[in-house]
Amino acid sequence: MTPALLALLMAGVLYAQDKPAQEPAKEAPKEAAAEAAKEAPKEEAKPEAAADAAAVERMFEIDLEVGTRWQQNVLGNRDTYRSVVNLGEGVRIMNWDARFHKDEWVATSRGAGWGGDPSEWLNFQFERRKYFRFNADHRNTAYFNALPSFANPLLDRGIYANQRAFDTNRRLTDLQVDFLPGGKFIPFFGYMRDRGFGRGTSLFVADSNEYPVLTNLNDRTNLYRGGLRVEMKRFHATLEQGGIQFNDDQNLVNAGAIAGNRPNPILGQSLFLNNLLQAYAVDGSSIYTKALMTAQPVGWLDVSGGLQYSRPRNDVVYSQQNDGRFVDLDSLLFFNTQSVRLLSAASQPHTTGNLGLELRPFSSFRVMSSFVTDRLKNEPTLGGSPLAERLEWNYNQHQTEAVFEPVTRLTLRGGYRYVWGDGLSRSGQLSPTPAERTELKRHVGLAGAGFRVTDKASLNADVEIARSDRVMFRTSLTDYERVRMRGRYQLLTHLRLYGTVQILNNTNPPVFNRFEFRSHQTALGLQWMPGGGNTVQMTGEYSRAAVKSEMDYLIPQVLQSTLSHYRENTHTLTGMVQWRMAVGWTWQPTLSAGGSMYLTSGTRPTDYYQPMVRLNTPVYSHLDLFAEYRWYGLSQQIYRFEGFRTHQGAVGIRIH
Amino acid sequence: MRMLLVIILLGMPLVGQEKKAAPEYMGSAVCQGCHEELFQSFTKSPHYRVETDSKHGFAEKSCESCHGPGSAHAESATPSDIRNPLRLSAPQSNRVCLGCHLNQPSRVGAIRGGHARNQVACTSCHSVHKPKPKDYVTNCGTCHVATLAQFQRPYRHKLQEGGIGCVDCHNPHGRLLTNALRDVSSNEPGCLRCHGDKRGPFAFEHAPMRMEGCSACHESHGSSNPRMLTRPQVAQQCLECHSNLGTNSRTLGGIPPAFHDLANPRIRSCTGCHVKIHGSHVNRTLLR
Repeated sequence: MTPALLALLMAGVLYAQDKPAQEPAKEAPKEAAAEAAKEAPKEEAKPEAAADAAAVERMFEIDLEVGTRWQQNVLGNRDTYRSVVNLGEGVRIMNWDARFHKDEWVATSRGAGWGGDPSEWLNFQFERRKYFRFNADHRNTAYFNALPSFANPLLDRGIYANQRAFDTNRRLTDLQVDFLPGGKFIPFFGYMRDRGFGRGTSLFVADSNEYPVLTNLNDRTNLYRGGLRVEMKRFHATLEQGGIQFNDDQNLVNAGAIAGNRPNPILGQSLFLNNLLQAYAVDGSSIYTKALMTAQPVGWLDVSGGLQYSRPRNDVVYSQQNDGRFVDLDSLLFFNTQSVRLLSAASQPHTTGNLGLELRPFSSFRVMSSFVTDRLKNEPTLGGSPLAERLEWNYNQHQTEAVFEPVTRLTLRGGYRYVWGDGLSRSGQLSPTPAERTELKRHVGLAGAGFRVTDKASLNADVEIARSDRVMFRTSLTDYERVRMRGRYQLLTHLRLYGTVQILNNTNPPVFNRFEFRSHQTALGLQWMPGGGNTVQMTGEYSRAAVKSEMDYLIPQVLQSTLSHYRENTHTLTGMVQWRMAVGWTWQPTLSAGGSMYLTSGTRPTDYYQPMVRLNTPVYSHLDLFAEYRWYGLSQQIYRFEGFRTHQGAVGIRIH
Repeated sequence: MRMLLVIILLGMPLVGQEKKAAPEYMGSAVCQGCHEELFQSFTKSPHYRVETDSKHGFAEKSCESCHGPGSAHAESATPSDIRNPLRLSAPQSNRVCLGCHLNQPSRVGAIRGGHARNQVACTSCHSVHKPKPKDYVTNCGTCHVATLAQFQRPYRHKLQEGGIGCVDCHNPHGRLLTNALRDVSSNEPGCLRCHGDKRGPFAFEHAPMRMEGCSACHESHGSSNPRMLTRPQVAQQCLECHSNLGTNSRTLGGIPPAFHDLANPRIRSCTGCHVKIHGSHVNRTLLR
């Protein structure tokens, strides 16, 4: 696939190199000259205009980078490197951006990472104006995760092995075609396929012991949809009907005796697992209906709304066959083999609706109001019998906000949001009831202001103050204040500054559990392009973030209250400087240097560096050579065994 | 009488002043005469169809469909004589765009979206003349600087590599739910577009998955904690909810599921046993 794609793109490049010289010569001058003669006869004749137009009116354009990457052996933990970066060696199509344009026909394609990178993506759009528009997205994502510090019960024994590790791939393809785009009635059809597959390590859990075993993952989702959009001057409606077919065939296997995580025998008997086959066969489907509308019945009123309904359901066959030495803790009986077969099913009708309007009684005053409701109900069965431990969820939100512009450059707004709902979920094993009920009631005051100080500077602020009578979880924000501010300033013609401040403070009232949460993020950025950026371009951002969370909880075995602390103090610096060196009139190599630095202290101190340097040298009018160097380094004070560092180099060509 | 005379005399110049003629449409060819490079770029943009399409009523005067009648500007060549949406206030600028784009599916909810409420103009993100859309990472990042910084953390979604984009999860034109999050198919959370294996429905759901979404446990942009969790240790992550202090608040999961011995590192690895933490098809305590 990859060599074929490479060959196709290279051929496309050759085509692109030839065509611009020929096509405009026979077509564009004719058109441009005719245009010039017809449309602007009074203006001075422009013989060069046709040539200029021809030069720009290239039918086919491409920007393609192909190169090869190599790297020094990863020093430190290679599994962590693969979990965080995972870039490998070899030939790659680093990225491309191609465009074909002739009359009513337009085709574009973009992509990156092909040849083995963990994030390969491709977008292709093909359109004949007024007739159809086709869009295709495809992504291959390699997901590797094996971090020995994550949920590792053997860490205290010095065993650095992740028992929940995965080496999987996900392939996502999304296609859509619209007919008669730009018209009043636009039928459309879409198809999406999402597939995940690979291997990993997971745990087979038996009474009093758990065994890390091989797991094979394989899930597939096919989504089919179609509908009609109606686009009128004052009215739009979209009706869509779709269906999902879903399968998940995960299994866990083992052959050969393993002792599991339990270090000590029970009643003098050591537990172990010999052979295992645990399999899930999930067969699911869903139908959904979506109806959306917007309307502007009169000039001072916008209305929009939507209704979405889906009913996902599935049937599951679970089978388990294992032999070894196991114990049933309730009866304290030991046994050697076990065979389990369970059937379950679940259905989850889900309805979402919304309605909103914007009123503009005066040119400088408007009122926005909206209502949202989201309701779902899980209806499970096990072995054919309905389960009492179901999940229900009803969520409602109503918001009204007024926006006022007292002067052209100032906008003020204020409003109120009320959020309410209720839920039902199964309770813990020690609870006297099989299910727990919860409620949500939150009152939120809203305020904001936008101020365009001058054409070059603006400031925006946004404030939320919430008070809750009921929340769903102990970790839910209860009484909080949230402030967000953003600003930008064009200090000089080619120097732009921008920044944000975000603050969130939550304090639970005494009737709730203690939960203090404070976070703030401050970020500043600049873009500097002296002289229009022909020689030097510079971008840089600095971000400072801090999180402080304190929550009381109960240690289960001793039922003592203690405090859960979490701290995060973060500095992030990113930047890039690009220098186009004026070595000669025609040869102008470009040197870029930059990268990012992330330093955090607190509960999990981490330093992560990603510097890079790149040199791009033109060798022909449409051909550049590039060389790139990157360094990745991760270190964590508490989990030193998870650190890594590596050097990477890449060379290649850029055709444009 | 003397006062009346003064008023008449002062009013004379106004009467005598010639009424300024309203500007007229000149056609795109006139604009092209001076703005040749801009016009050529514009011919490749999707907006160029306005030039040839009679649907919008601006055939052969597509430039003036946004900039308004250009005769005064053509005569004076002064920027102030023509409408420039970049220099208008956000609501005024948006009115220009929404003249055509209001009743389109991407606009559903836009009037209540965060960008609309915060006076972010369409032109802040969209380059109207250019054939290609702006790079959305830098485009979004110039305002959401702190959010972009989160993608420099070690455990993150692969934004810089192109594996995912801001608009894969967020609808910048507006969505009624928190943070303008997209949904997949009809009303499923957008996360399920890629994480389809967490779709369910499960016979035994983990309630936060449905009620608070993935962000109840995960930092969706990036984290210094493995699996993009909000806490570095699984036990801390789980026990902050599963603790029976403050039960007056009637929150879910508050009553501890069992008396676990947290002194044992095996037990502190909650997901070591509760492997189906996102929901189980067959086990009440999410063990398989």
